[in-house]
Amino acid sequence: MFDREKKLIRKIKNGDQEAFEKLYNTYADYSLRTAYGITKNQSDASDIVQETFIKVYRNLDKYDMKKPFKPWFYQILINEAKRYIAKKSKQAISMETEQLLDYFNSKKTDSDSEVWIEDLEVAMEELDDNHRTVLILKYLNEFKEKEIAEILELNVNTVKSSCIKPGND
Amino acid sequence: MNSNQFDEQLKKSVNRYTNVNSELKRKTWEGISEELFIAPRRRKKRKRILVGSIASVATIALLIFGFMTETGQAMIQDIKELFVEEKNQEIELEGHKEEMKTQLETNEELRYIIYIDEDRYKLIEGQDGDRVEPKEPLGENYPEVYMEISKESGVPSGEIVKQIKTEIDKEGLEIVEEETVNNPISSTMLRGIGRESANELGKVGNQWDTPVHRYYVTEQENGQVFVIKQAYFLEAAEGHGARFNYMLESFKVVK
Repeated sequence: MFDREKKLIRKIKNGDQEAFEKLYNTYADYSLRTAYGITKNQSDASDIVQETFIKVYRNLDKYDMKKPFKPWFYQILINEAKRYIAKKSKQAISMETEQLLDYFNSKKTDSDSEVWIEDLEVAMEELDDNHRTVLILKYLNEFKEKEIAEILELNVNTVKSSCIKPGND
Repeated sequence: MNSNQFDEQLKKSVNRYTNVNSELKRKTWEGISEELFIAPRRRKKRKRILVGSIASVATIALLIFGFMTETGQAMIQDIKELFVEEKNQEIELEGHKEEMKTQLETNEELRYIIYIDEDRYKLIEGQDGDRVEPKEPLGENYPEVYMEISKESGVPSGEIVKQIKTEIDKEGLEIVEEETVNNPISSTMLRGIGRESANELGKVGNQWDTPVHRYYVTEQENGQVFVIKQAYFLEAAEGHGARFNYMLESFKVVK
């Protein structure tokens, strides 16, 4: 899969627009979901993903072909989301993040999963951007904690403490 | 709830939480495509219209001046040729058809014209010839990619072919093809490729980045021989290699 992706990237570098559209189709769904998960605004998510792909296209010569493409891509996406949020000065934290993480952990023994999911969705809205981003990267994009740390330029322990793990209580 | 169930519930929850409108993907692509591919063409077109207007004024000025001398008559003839500004050409790359928008480039000194895919390449004039290069640099990990156009005076084509063979060898490449061709231009074509090497996994053979040098040597006419050298790499044969040849089809010597 990685070889196919690298071949695609080399084609883009050679000026193949169709290859770029293929790359977009590969990454668009999850990047839009990720950006939407962070901003909770579809129009903002679309703007962020647009800017991300434009930056990817223009800076592809800076991408190290020896490394996997996905973390490099998501680093640009997350930085773009952060920049966008900072520009819009969105600060809507109504609950302390630590309290929320405790709340998640207390809920993990709940047997009524549908109620639990709905509760969690409501609670996610209240998380700060960093913690919500960690959850999205882990559970939507299936990145490992080490990769998340690299993407967010955080210490891996900080990422670990942001994740909800069963057995903490 | 065990660890797996817990992760599954969280995945479901995050998936539901991040659900987006199905139209968003299409709209987002339209924005990207507009910014990267459509708007730059529109901007170039506006520029071209302006260049065209200035050129028309220059043509009129030369026409007035030109009626008086023989040199002027010749220049008028040249300019008539030179002011076909752009043309679209349908090309096929790896089975996909696309429209290549090309812009006229001329060299008064070497006396030739060529149409260049201006979205992807630029023409740089040098002392010994011109070089068509990708607009966007490919990066350090890539072999050189360019097409060079130069002219030799007073040397027969056969002699130039011999010199090129020596050059290919000195550059560490092997000649894999030598033939008389009519396309993209009537000429003697020589193609050299890099020698087999081992990749990072130890596999020996031609690699994606093995360099390819392709030469076209025209027949001597009025003591002049044109040499076109194309440099690219194996994986770019269907990309840059093919595009260079499509552009070269438009190459014409101006007498």
